[in-house]
Amino acid sequence: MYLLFILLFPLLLGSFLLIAKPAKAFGLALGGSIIELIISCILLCDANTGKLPTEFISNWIPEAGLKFALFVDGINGILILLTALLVPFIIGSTAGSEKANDAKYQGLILTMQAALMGAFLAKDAFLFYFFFEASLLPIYFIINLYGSENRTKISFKFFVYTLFGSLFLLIGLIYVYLRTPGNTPSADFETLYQTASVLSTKEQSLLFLAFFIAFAIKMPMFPFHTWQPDTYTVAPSQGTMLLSGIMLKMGTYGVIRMIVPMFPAGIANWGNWVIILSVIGVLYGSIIAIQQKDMKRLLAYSSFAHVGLMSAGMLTLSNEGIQGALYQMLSHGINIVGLFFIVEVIERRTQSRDLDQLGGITSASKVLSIGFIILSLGSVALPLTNGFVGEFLLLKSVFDYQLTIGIIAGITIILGAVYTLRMIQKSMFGNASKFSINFEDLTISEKLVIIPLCILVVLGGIFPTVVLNYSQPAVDLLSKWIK
Amino acid sequence: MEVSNYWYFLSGLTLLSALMVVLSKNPIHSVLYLVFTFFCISGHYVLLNAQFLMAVNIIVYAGAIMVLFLFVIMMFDLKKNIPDSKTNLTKLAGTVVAGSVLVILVAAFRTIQYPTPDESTFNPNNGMVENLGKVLYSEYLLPFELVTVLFFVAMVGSVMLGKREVGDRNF
Amino acid sequence: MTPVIALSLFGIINLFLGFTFKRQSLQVVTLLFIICSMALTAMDWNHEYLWFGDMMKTNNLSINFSLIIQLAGLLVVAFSNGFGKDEVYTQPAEYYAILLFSLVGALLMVSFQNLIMLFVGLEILSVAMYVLTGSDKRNLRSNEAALKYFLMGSFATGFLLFGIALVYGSTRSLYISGILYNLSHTAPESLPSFLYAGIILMGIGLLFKISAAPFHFWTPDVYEGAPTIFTMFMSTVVKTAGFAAIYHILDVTFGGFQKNWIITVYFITIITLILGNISAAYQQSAKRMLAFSSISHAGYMLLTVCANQPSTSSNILYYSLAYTLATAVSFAVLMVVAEYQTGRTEKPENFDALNGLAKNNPSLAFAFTVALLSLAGIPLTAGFWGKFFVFTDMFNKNLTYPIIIAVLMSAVGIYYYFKGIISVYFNSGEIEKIETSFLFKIALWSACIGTLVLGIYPTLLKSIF
Repeated sequence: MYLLFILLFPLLLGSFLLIAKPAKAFGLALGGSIIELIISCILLCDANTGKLPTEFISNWIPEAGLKFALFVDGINGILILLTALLVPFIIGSTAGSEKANDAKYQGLILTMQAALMGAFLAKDAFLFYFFFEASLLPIYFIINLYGSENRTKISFKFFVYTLFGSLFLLIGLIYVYLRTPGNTPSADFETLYQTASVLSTKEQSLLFLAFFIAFAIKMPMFPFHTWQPDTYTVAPSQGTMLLSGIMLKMGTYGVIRMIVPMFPAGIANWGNWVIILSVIGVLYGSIIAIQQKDMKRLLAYSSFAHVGLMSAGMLTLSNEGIQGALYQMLSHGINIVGLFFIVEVIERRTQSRDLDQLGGITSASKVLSIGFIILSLGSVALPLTNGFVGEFLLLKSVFDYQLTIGIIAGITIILGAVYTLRMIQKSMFGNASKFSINFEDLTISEKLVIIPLCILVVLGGIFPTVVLNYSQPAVDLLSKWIK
Repeated sequence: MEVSNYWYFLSGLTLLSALMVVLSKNPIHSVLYLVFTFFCISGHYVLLNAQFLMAVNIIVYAGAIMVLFLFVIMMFDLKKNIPDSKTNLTKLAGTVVAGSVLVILVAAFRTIQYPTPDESTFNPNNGMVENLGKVLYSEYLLPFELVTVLFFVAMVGSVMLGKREVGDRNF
Repeated sequence: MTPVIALSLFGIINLFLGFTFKRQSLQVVTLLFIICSMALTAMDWNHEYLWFGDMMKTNNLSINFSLIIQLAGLLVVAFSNGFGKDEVYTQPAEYYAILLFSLVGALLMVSFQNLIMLFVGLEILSVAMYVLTGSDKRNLRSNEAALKYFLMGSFATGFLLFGIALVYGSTRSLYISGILYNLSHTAPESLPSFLYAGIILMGIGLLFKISAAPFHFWTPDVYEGAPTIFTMFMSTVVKTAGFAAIYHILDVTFGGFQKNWIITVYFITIITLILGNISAAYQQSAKRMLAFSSISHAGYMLLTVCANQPSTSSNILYYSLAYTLATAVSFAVLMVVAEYQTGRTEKPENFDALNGLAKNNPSLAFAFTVALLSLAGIPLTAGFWGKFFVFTDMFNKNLTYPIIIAVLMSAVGIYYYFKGIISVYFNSGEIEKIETSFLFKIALWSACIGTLVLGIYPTLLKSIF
């Protein structure tokens, strides 16, 4: 019941906001997302101890053997937590601007949350695909209605590119699903794992490619990333937060949930190339990020770099890799939402995101600079931050897989430090430029967004085992399929 | 005389008039030769014992359609429309195409095997008008009646399309 | 059989009512007539009848097709606005009567058991459409469209007739049951070779009607020239009836001879998909784009005909329904916008004419978006499940390569469908609030909601199909 609630509640609230367009949309949206967060936490805590049912299955299309099935286990629990946790911050970040009471905007954010929740909660692969594609619609409208220059072409490219990839996912899914042993085909994850385990190596390799293209475009991975920097830059801040904080995790979740257990033979064939591509992506993203002047674009490339490391770690098929990827998903989400929020705060006050034009903001607002530094260090993976735990596990898994690739991936930590610290130094320190000369201090609502995020960064670094122990059993189950 | 003599005579007449359709210079002559060809083909139908088909062929094809052709041709000003002789290349291309059609038809006719009629069900009087009428009004009554809907649509449609509207030009 | 009789009578009554009734009431009366005949159709559910000695058959499949066709007719009448405003449409009674008669033809095409009935039904439907296409007498494009449709359609009917003659000559029976019986009781070597030619010729005649490539050249000009309300009728009713006929001929009657016709139909399908989608991407006129999109959807439906699985008939039904609802809504919105823009822009049917619709007409814009999303096959709409079932059928038959082409062409499709959504929502233009009649609004919303409901819960109808 709780499962259905956390799926339907944001959908209903979002639709209500879109249709009825009440005047005080901000309060409704924020309150709704906080209720969602509370219920998700209750669900996750109790589901772990077995007090609440962890599954919700009902018939959807019996003729095709598809079920409307939702569930919670260690892996998607983390992502449900991520979605429920970040959306209040995202909605809170609109406070003080004219978008706060724009019912259409808040409604679109909430429907987006519902679609993302649905993708993570789904137990049936086609239900996952359904939400995977359905989530494109709200974000497309968010970008197109509220984005900046050139948004029509860029958002369209994003939409078509992603949809094109997911069509291959659909084909691959139908192929595996039709080969279910027995009379009725079924797309339940467990059944799919079983069906896929008897496929031939050649089939597994081809299916790996088909599935992976969809997720590679979504994450994105080199060389399918060309849509990403433009889309992140053109979208409104909340759109970018949704995209980078939660939506790209759908891609990595799909890899863990579907590709890793289903196509071990395919990964054995192609995995090496994909890991090399991921690490190239990390390097490429970091190097380009160093040259960026636009902060939003810089963060987009850094996000791209982080995801590259995540996918490399996941495909090593080791325990650390998958655990590291999961933890990194959580911490990267928190970090990147905080960072994008800070960029928005700066842009609101100085009308500029250009690093050359900024400087000396520390003297104006200490809380902002401290928050900025903490979040950036989390992104750089300094020990004691949540980013460190994730990156350490991921790097260890890549090292164990192959030493040279590991070393190259490790170099990227240095590059990451370069672009992040450069960003901080240019915007926060030095002399105040004419843009940042009248920088006002943070308002209460802005502080309320930044400070909890910073606390989460530090907590995640000090107490990682809470989350790691939560996901461990599910990851162990997954490793059973990898053998 | 035997039936086959009639057949040879009729075929010869048909081929001759068909050739004259193509070769004659005056279009009205061509149309008249075509009408004659249709009459000869109706004669073939008689030889095949398809009485009704002969009657319908003469009434509809030779009677209605060719008369329409004549009307249209009479409306043209014939003196202006003498087409130039086509280029040699076109003539060559036309010959090649028609020749290949001829080759294919001859080859097909040589290898084709016509199924022999089933002795028990073969009725040589199938084409006679009474038999046709019997089948049409008993077994095929439903399509026969439904064709009235088709005629209705055609009538209503033609009146609707041809009606004089307010503001139309007078021809 | 009862709906056929009912609709013919209602058509005649409609003609007489034209003397006495006003335009708007004539629309309501016609709606009631069609609802009445839908009720008569549905009354025969779960019974199987053979009429007039195996001329027509009523079973669940034909009832489903008939209901979809009559639903499409209902939507067309509801969107037609009584033909009152434009002085071209002087006598609405005749249009409604011809619409009802063409529904008769369509019903014959879905429930035939004798090839002559197929021919009669096809001709009734086609002649009615030739007339309606040319009904906008002052518009040169309408005259051109009618003439093109008439000439090419008659030619195609000639092919169909030749095919029927050859099939009759080789199987000695015109009844589908007779053909099946004779074919199964003759050794394959002794079957005359012109049987296969007959099958292909019949296929060609029918494929023309559903505008499969390379017989599609009439579609864009005819769809663009005809008045939009009749284009809506053509693209929904004629396609559904055509596919029912193709299913009966190719899959039911000659399913055993699939190895003879499959290669031809296979290639026709692939060319249809490629040509339809790629040509649609280049169109500036929204109406022409929808014409090419109807060609591409014919390609998708042909895929499941090629696959010939037990679930093919229910998949064709589902796809036809999803396609009907989406096309009706998109043409309806196009119609009102074009009417509004006729004096104000040069090309009232282009995408540019739709610019800025969402500002003052949010419900029209939303309905248009849902319709285009359904045509594109985005999840949450009925069109997605239509394509999903088609893909499932194809995988069941191991036709993997056409699936790749179908998927690629789906991606192309998204491009041109989104042009419409972008124009409506994200481009700026000046369109004031467009007034639509109450019936129009009801039809628009019910089709829209139907698409969404079927998109989320397709079992509702899939279990019946």
